[in-house]
Amino acid sequence: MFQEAKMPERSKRDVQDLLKALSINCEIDDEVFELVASTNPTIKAYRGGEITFQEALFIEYYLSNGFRAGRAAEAANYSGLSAGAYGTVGRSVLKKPAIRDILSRRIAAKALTSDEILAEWSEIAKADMTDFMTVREREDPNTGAIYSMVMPDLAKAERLGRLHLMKKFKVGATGEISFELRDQDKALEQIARHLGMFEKDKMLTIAPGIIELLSQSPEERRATLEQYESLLESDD
Amino acid sequence: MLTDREEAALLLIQKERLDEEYAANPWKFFCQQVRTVDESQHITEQSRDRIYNWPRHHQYLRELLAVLQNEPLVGVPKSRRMMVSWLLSAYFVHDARYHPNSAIFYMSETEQKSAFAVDKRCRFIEEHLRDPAFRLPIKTMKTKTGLIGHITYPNDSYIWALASGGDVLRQYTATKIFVDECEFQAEAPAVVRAALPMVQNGAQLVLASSSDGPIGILAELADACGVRSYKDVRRLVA
Repeated sequence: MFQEAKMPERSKRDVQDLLKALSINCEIDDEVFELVASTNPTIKAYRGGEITFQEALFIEYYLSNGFRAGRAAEAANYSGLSAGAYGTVGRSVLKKPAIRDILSRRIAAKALTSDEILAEWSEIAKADMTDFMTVREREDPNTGAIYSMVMPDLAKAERLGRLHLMKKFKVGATGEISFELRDQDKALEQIARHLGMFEKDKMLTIAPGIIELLSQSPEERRATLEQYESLLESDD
Repeated sequence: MLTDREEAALLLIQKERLDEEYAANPWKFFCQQVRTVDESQHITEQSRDRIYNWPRHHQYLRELLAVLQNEPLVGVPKSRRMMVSWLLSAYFVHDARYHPNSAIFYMSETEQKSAFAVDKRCRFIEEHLRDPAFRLPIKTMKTKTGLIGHITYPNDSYIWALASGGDVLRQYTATKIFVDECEFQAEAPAVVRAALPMVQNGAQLVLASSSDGPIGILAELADACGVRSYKDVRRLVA
């Protein structure tokens, strides 16, 4: 009867080698190591003998290099192939159920949730230029007059955790700094779209009569209130 | 002393209270808010646009409303210009406004005739309520003839003009069906047959018509109830 060969479980040293190959510093204590090894699907599968060292490398490169199977196969050292063949090997590795399973779990863990996306949009929409500037008072050396100067202050932005809201940063030939924040209008539009504000049928409809009622002058409003009270009291 | 904001909030609360009263008391809603139009009237100093307040002095309308509120199957043998159609239109508008997801069918001999009633009675009532704050934003759809034949309320209730026919009715589920001038509709018996299963499940069927002799469906129903003339009505009431 055919007996499936069971691959031996890798030792801590093997896994550390793998992490090193991935440029991950693994000088950590046993408890943390166990946690990393048991929660990271790639390392877990490698320790459990489900995938090879090369496949584990392939997964890491595939995830960190824009999902290019050929490049990941090349980086994972599938040697002896012509340049064009890496793509074929990479695609065949991707078809393995264990690899697909690990990839889907890794991608799900890395992907942003809708709440995270919304939070990001709202941070962009609410970005404040003053978080990137500092006002300093200077004295004119010629006249002695005090004047205010607005200066870019990226250290302040970093301290406030706002640097990720920056889209472009440029230092000019004369040393002047210019930068651009991510598009606030676009972020607002995306939030409005998420809230369904552009869907005509979902728009809040307020009867014109109610708007008229609330636009009354204080005198008219008091008269209407009196009228409502008498209508409420009346039987018909 | 209330602030502007508080006064506006109070106004809305009072309006809501009135709306609640109107929901529970259709007659109060008719008397305080509904207006009618009488195209046959001469223009006078009092009414330059032929628009009149609800005729609260017609007690028979109040009595008929009580019947409508309590009976699932109602026949109304009537004569012309009694404002029965206006009462039924106002009754349906009230039902659509205050009861979500009501499906009300207005059925006349032709679609054009029923659309006339939906447009010139139901829509008119809704859009000419005495206090504009009570007017609801209704969606309307026109028939081929250009009259409004379908009114949808924000609570998804609707009033729909249909041409007479049992098969027409068989396709839909109704909350209320009004067969206007049923004695002049050849399809009226088929309509009643199609509507009865719905009535058994809680819908309301209202037949109203002026007389076309002793052979109409309403005349037969009245005959079955022992009513052949007004004398019989007086006898039964006594």
